[in-house]
Amino acid sequence: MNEDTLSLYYDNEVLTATLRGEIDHHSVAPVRARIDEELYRTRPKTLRIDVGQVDFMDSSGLGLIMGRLAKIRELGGTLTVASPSPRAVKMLKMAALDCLIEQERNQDS
Amino acid sequence: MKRPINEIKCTFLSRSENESLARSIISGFLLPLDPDVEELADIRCAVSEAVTNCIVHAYRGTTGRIALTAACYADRTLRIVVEDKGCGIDDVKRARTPLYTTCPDEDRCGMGFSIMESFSDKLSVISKPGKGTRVTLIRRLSPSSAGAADEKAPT
Repeated sequence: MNEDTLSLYYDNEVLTATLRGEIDHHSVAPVRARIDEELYRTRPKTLRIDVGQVDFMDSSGLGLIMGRLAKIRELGGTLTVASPSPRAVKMLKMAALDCLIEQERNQDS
Repeated sequence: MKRPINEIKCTFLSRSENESLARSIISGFLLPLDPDVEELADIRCAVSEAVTNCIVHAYRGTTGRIALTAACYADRTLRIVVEDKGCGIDDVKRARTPLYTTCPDEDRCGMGFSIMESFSDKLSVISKPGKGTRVTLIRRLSPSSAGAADEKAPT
């Protein structure tokens, strides 16, 4: 896995997984493994998947999100998808995952 | 159908790194046709789905060849074929059902065919168990606006 494809940040019970570049079947396996490793280590209340820097995503990316949703739910937490491009929103809607999209944060909060 | 204006046919091994290669090949074929950003992205995604199916399903546990053909006609209709000689699909209708997958444990969400269908004007899937599968996507590109100041795919 390219260092650039995934970075993980844990703070205040939120684990943020930032994905970059192209997310397809080829690139997704090590990303999945690494997120799950960190998920079970940190047991966060929220898993936040930031897709703002994703250039391409097909159904493998949707599968990644759906799989992580199942896992975080097992741990009693929630999942949000942050910063999706209009293209990513289009893909998420096809799998009815658009409900996971993080709402824009207020300036004040 | 009439003869195409341009056509490419290539084969490659069912290695997962070739999913990106297939997208690059179809981009390379499409860019001179001046597609808009959305249709280029749609078609790249549809091809990625079809090729991934060959790798994940058709040639599961083995390696085979995937044939990718793309042709463009005078009316800007594209015909893309992704073909394999893999295990074939027992029940094509069931396979094409949204969210149906034979591999839920691998995070396969069963949306491949649905996505291909959404991103094409017409999708046909012909398969014979033990022989292989041929997926044909037809999509007509929007009119070329060469010279117009709208959003076109970057070269």
